[in-house]
Amino acid sequence: MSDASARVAGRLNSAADDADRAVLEAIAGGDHGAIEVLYERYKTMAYGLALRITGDASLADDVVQEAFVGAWRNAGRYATERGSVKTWLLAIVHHRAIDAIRRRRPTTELPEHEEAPPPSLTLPDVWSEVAGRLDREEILGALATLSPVQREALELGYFSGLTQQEIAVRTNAPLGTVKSRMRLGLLQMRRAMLGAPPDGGEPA
Amino acid sequence: MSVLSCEQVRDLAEGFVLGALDPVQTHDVRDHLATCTEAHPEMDELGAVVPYLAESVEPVEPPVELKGRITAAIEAELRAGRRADAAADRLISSLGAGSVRPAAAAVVETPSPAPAPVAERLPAPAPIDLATERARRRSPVRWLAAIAAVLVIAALGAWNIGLSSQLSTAQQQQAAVDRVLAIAQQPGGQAAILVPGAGGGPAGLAAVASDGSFALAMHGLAATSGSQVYEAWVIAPSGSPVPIGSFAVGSDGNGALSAARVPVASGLTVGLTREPNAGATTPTLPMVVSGVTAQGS
Repeated sequence: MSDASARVAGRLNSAADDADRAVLEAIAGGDHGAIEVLYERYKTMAYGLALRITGDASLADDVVQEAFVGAWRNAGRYATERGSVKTWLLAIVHHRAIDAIRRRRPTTELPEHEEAPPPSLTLPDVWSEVAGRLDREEILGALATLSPVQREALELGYFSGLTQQEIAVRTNAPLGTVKSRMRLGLLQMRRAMLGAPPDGGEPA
Repeated sequence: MSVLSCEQVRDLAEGFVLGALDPVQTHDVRDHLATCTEAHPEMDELGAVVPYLAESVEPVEPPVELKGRITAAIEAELRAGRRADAAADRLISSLGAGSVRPAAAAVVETPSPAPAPVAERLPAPAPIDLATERARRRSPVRWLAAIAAVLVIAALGAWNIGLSSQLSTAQQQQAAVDRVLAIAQQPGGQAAILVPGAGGGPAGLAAVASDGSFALAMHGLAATSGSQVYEAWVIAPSGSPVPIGSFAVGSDGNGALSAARVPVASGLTVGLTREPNAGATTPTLPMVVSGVTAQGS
């Protein structure tokens, strides 16, 4: 992405956030059709994420359906939370998808997960300003700065539905090692994302 | 009151933000964060990049028909909400119009050691004003309080036994109803009105919290005898019935049940069956009462 197009994308992102919030307000106000606007905007990201986690097209269908119905139902609660609508929506998709695969796994006890998406995070301004402008390429670039074991730990932690304990068994590493790989991986990714200038230049 | 210390929560932070803890740990961390007065900056520090893991995934076009499925599901839920309204109407009509007033005056003479001031929470003995209740009932949680009051009053009105036993039964019923309300009113809590498929008869309330806590309060059930029990079932929209627990019912017709960690989903069906013994794994149909949970707002 060129410098100019990255800057434009950054502005579009923040305009899109405002537009998304307006859609949620409309839904909360009783405009039930407005969910279609949100769906059209995020269906490919939501479906991509659901498919990546479940690895099963029909399960991904169910997950995305549940997530959008859940977003419709909880639209009124979004207003008080922080973070973009996109982040909120994808967190719901993630949560539903992990639930779905854990339920299907016969050896795992049935997890009685909560409905609500994870608590929203209070993100420092500088972070949302920088991170909000990164496109997928740049996010992948930040992931690429992790060591292979750190990246594997993050990916297993976020996409596999396995618990840290299960990941330790799967990767034949002590639990403490898995935990510190995840921790260092998250911190390194953050550093790499902050180091990548918002105008799309080379990462520092 | 948290089961985890701040130190333990810090240690679980990376697993928590990634969603890689087991359900019990996740619940405990969430519980801690909701009540802890200490700062937990590690959650932001580690969690800030997590949304971007979601965005790192390659977008995929979903099947065309998925959009229609979503709008159909939303319409179905709107219809279910209207059905819940209708069920509430029936319940209030059947209980509210009947023998609502008698025992309230007697209860005022509650002996002082009584734990719950039942009388204070009973509304005036005037019958429920249906028009008002219907107007209030746009959200399930708003009509809950009205129905809960009706359940307690109706229970009182139905008995002709000695005052003291009537009182303790009333207190038990009040406590059971309070448990349901407490769960229903939690964020993410859902409640269902339990009514028979047709006609009058037993009625009650059930609620499920987002952490899987469950409570149910019933009135008007036929008494059980011998090893007979009423078994409560929770059925997720795409699941099979999960037994939640069972209880026996005496001549007062009241029944209550609390449970932890029942399945959680939106639009759960909650139902009661009469079973020859406790421990049923599949329900003996028909359901005595059932209802679909709806979320408050």
